[in-house]
Amino acid sequence: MVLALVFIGFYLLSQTILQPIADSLRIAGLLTAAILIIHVANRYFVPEADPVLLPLAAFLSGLGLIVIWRLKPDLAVAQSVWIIAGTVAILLSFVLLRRYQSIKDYKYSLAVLGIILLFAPIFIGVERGGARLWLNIGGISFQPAEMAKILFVFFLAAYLEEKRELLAISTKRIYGIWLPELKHLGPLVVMWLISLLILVLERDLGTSLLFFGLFLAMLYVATGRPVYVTLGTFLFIASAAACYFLFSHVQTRVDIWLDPWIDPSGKGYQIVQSLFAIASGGLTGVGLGLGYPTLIPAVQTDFIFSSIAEELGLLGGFAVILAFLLFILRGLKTALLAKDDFGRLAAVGLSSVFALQSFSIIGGTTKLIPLTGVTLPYMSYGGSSILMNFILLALLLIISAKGADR
Amino acid sequence: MSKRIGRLAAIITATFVLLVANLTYLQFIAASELTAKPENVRPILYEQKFRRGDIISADNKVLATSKKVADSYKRYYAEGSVAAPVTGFYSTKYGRSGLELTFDEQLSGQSYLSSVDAYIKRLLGKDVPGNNLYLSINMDIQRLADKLLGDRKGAVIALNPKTGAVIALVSKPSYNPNDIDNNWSILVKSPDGPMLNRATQGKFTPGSSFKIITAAAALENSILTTDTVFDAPANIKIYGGKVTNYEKKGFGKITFADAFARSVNTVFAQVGKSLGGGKLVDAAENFGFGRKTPFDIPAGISHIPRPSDMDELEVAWMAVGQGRIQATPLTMALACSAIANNGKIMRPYLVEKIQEPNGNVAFQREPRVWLSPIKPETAQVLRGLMEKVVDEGTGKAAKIPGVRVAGKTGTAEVGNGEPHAWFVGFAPAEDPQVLVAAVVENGGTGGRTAAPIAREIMMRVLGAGQ
Repeated sequence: MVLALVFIGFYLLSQTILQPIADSLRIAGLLTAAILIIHVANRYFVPEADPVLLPLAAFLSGLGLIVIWRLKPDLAVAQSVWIIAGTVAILLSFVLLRRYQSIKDYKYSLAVLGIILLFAPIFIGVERGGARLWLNIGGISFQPAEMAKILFVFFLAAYLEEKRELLAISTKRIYGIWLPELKHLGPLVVMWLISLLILVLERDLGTSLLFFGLFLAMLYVATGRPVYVTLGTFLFIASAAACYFLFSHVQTRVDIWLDPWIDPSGKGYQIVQSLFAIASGGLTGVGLGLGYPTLIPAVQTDFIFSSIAEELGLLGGFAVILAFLLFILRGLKTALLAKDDFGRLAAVGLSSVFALQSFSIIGGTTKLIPLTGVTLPYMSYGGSSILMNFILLALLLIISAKGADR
Repeated sequence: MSKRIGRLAAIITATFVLLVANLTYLQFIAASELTAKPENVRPILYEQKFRRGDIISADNKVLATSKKVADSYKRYYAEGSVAAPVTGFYSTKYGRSGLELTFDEQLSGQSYLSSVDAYIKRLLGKDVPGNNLYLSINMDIQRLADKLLGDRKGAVIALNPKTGAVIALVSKPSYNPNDIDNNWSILVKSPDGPMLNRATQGKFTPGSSFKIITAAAALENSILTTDTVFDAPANIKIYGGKVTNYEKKGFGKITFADAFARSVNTVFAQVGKSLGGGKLVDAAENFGFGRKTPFDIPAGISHIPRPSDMDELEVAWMAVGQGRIQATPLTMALACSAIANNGKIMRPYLVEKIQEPNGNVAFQREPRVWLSPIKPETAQVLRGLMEKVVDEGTGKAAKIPGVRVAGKTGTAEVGNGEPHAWFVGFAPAEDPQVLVAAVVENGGTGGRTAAPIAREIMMRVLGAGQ
């Protein structure tokens, strides 16, 4: 199945006749090799792992690579290098993190490292497109929030495993709502503050939403108390509303979402072009390489989904959405089968972060929700995104293998 | 915890279903509205990407083709303004007209792509050109007609009355379709109306050329024969007004055949009066007035007033071809073709066949009858009347040695200036091969101005056929 998918990708890539065929074959070869290596490693280190996750990730990265190749051929070469790096990361993860339970002993170190990574760009970061999200290390720019996501998932999984009993017990009753003791609400408030800080200091609506949503999902699964979710959602909406009135860039994003036609050639240009691209796709798309997706600014990163909808149509877009959903559901299945609460919560967190990220960017480019600049996992061009999502894949595979061999 | 993970999965699935629903909405329901937005440049970019099919005349002249300039194709018209009334223009800025408009889908290759192979090639970005149009237009005749009109405003149509195949279609002044983007504002503002296709959409008072229809109505309704004798004074009083002959000439007592040959208004006024408005209007409608003409390029509807809106004087003038009656040259050519083709009007056409790039013929024209306004016998009688016009009447300038020519002149009085000159006719009368309708705006009498144009064209077509 893995091989079949890779060869479909390989075939499609070689059919992209816009560029020299030799280059495309080289890239396809690299991708095939990478997937094969991961597959073999998967069979060797974690043979009981979920058999669907890797093919889905291979399909999405393969299609992503093809689309990037079609959009900006130079970037496809860089992307395939990142895929190799991701492969190495997976191998390392297989070797080092096979006994992932030991991670929980370092949970506070993970949290501190995560916070440092998250907020480092504010002090030493590089600003791009109005947001400070990048670190520049030795000429390679890196988006630390991508890494922080995974660290937080593990911190929260460890923390919640320990405290979930306490959090689930309600001892106080305020206005008819049972609440746990205030000191146990601490992490909730801390996470809320962190999300708020990301929003205010880094002007990054997407990452902020991602962290808070991730936290709420894990909290809900761990404690089973909807009151946290309600309270958390309320807090987030309140702070988001406050941001709308306080920060002009948030206001602009929401206004453009509500009506991009007030400034279709200026502030609304990107989303308007995205909508035009999607509209021209129809059922089967205009054909790979035959559309004009490059009219959309940043199409290879945030708007890669629009180019798929344009050139591969509703069928292509649907296939991608379905692949993401299947990946998430297999992730949640891994959580169900996990034999320890730590693994279970970690799988929930990893799946949730993946779900939130893919939903918010696909929803953003199709104007279902306001646009938040996050990458589409496995598909968007971007080193940190590819690297971290490959690690995410490795972690899910490891957890699922442990779950299977009980 | 399992239950809650299940719930989380359900919520996530629901949000992803929303994504698909929204995508479906954008790609189907909102798609056409989004595509039509003026900010959307995609339609223009798509059009220029593929090679549009050629338009090729019956004598294998390429009238329109696409040439690659840098990344996109540019339309090129080798025959320029001469073929423009047929080809129309193609502009990504100002749209399209003529055959470029009506056969846009076939030329661009959006339809008639019968082979899956071609579809896949397009999907892969291979340059699969659109379909070629092969016309019935003969560029030799088209150029001649264009030259004969010269700098005068007017229109000429030449067609085969037996099939409806249009051999030449000229409208003057014309425009150069190669320069449409540069000259657009000048062209649309020009008082001469170069963008108006006079042959199919120009509306003119038909004058005496309409007497063919009056005569047909009178013969079909058996209110006279060719030998019926009429008083033909210089003018006659009808319903408080009067109808006069051209140049106020009186003819004494003459037969209907002579009155037709000499285009005597006072006789036709009497015929109109005895026919009545209803029968005359019915006849005109049977010949194509008030109907949308099925044609390969947009054609206007010739106007005839409703019988209830006319008094006897107007009916009498209408029988003469004057008044609120408005005809396109195409309508007059087709009306005349009923006489040439035993009472049947063939559906006129320009496109003989459509060929796909792989040589496969996607469409082949089969001549079809459009209207049958008169009986074959009536057509036979009218043919004799029209021969007499050319032999000894107002149309002598259309005479061709050794060929029997049938025709009818028209001199349409207009409000100011010289009358419009008309001639409709066909040859050889006994076996019509070519029919010509010519109108010259403010050109004077039909016999002097329009008949010679038709004569030249008929001679050239018949000469080419031998």
